[in-house]
Amino acid sequence: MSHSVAIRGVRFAYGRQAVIENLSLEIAEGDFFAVIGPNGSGKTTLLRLILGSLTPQAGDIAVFGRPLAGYSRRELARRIALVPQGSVPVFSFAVEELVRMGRAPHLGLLGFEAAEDIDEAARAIAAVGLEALARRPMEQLSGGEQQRVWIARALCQQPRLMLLDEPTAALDMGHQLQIMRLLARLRRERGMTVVMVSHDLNLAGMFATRMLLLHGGRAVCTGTPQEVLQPAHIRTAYGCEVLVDRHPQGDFPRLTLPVDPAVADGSRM
Amino acid sequence: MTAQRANVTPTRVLAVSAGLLLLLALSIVAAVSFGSSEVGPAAAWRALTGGPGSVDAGAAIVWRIRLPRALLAAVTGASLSLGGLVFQALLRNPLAEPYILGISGGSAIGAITGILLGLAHFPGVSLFAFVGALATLGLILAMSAGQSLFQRDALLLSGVMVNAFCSALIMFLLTLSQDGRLHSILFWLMGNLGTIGLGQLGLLAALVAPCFVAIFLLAHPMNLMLLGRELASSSGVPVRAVTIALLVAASLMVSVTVSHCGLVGFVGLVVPHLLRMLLGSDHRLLVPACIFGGGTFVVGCDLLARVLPEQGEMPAGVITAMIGAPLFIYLLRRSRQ
Repeated sequence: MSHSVAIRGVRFAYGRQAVIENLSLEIAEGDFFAVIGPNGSGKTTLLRLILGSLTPQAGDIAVFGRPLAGYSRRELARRIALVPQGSVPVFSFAVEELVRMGRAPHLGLLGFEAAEDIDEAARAIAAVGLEALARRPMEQLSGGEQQRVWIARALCQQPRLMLLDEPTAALDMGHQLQIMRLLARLRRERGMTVVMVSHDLNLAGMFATRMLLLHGGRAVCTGTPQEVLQPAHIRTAYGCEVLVDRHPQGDFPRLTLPVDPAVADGSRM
Repeated sequence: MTAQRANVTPTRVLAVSAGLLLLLALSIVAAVSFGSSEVGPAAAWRALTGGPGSVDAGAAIVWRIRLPRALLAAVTGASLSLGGLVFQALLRNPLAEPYILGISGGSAIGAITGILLGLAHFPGVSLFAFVGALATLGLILAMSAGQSLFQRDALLLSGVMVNAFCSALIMFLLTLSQDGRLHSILFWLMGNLGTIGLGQLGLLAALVAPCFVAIFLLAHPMNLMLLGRELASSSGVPVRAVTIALLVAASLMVSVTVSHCGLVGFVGLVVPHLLRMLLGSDHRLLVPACIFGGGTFVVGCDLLARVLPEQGEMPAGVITAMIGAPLFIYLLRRSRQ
C-alpha cells in the first residue's frame, strides 16, 4: 500500500524552541490516523507541517509520493483539506455558501462556481446529512452541526487526505460520536485518508486504525491503538497513571483513570 | 438575517451592479439638478444633454461646479466603501473602516504636508497622501501586532489613538503654517467635495479604477480569508500575496481619494454593512455593490449637505458622520452581546 504522508527526520522550531524533533512517520493511504499527546506536544504543528503552511528546518515531508515543495498551493489544496477546530466567521454565511468555498482550488480566475461545483457542494452537504439546513446561516446551527459544515466544506475540496484539528473538542459525548462515525464512513466510502488530532483517547482508540503518541515534539510510540495505548507510554507522555483493559464488547483498548488518592477512601468529602 | 439568498452567479453580480449603477446615475442627475442657485432640474437636464459647450445660462454651473462635485462624491463613496469592505475582511473585524482605523487621518497628514510644501496635486500631494496612509497602516498593524492583531478592541483602540495623534499633528501643521488658506484646509478636513475640476477628476478615476479591478479579482480569496489564514491557505489562497495586494490597493485608493475630499468619515462602515444586510456576505457581490452603492450614498449625503442649510453649505463629512457614528455604536453594542 502506498503512503499518503511520509515524514523523515523532521525538525521544526519557532525561534530556538524546537516543537518537533527528529520525527519520522508514515501514514498509509486509507488510514484513520489519530495524533495524540498532551498540550504543547506539537500535534497542531505536525498538522501544519503536513499541510505545508509551515516548512521544516530539517528533514523532508512527502505526500502521495511527491515532496511538498513539488506542489503548487492549488495542487496541494486539491489533495489535502483541513477541518478547523470550529469557529463561526464574523460575517453571516449560509451553510451552502461556506461549503461551496471548498471548491476554491477547482475554480477559475474570478472564482465563480460552475454547475458541477454546485452539485459537488450539494453532495458534500448530503454526505454530512445537512440538506435540511443548507440555506440556514451558519451562526444559527448547533456546535455539532457547525462541525459537520466544516467537514462538508473540506469534502467539497475532494481531497484524498483530510486533516482535522480536534474536531470534537467542543462537543458533547453524543455529538463527538456522531462526528467520529461520520469520519469513519467517509473514509470507507471515499477511500480517503483521515488524520486527526484528538484529546479523547478512548474515542480515538476505538475509531483509529493507527496512532502516533507525541511528547515534547518527539514520537513516544507509533502503531495500532493496542500498541500505543499502553500504561507505560501514557505515563511517559501525560505523566499520569491509567488502567488499560479490553473493552467488554470487542478488541479495543479502554483507558480508565485509577481512583485518585485524594478520594481513596471512596467518599467525596 | 434569515432571508434566503440566491446563489452568487455572474448573472446576479451583473444584475445587482446594473441596478445600483442606475441608482447612482439617478442620484447624480438629482445632485446636478438641485442646489443653492436657480438651476432647476429641467435646465440642468438641458445643460447636461447639450454638452459642455452649451451656452445655456445654467450650463456653466452644471458643468463646472455641480457635475464635477457629484462625480467626485461618487468616486469618494466608491473608494471609501470598498476600503471599509477590504479592511473588514482582512482584519476580520466588522468595525474596521479607513476613517476609524486612522488611515484617512494619515493620508490627510501626508496630503497637508504636500500642500504646505507647495507641491502640485498630482503626483506630489497624492504621493504624500499614499505614504501617509501606508505609514499609519504600518503603525496600526505594529501596535496591535502579535496575538491580538485581530482582536477588535486592540485594533480599534490603536486606530483611535492614531486618529487622535493625526488630528493633533494636522492642527500643529496648520498653526505652524500661518497660511491664508487655513479656513479652506479646515473645511477640506471635514470632507469638502467642492474643489475639483473635470481634468483632476479624470486623473483620480484613472488611479482608483485599477484598484477597483484588482479588488474585484481578489473577491473570492477575500471570502476564504474570512474563514482564517490557515483555512484560506489550505484552500489554495496565497494568503500573504493576497493580503499585501489588498492592503496596497485599498490604501492607494483611500489616500488619493482623501487627498481630494478630506476626511469623509464612516462611509466605509455604513455602506458595506447596509449592503451585507441586503445581499449577504459574499465579496463577489459586495465589491461591485460597494463601488456603485457607496457612490450613491455619498452623492446623496453631499446633496443633503448642500440643500439642508438655509445659506451656504456644509461639508459632506458632517452628514456621513451623523449617520455613521450612531451606526458604529449600534454595531459595537451588538458585537459585544
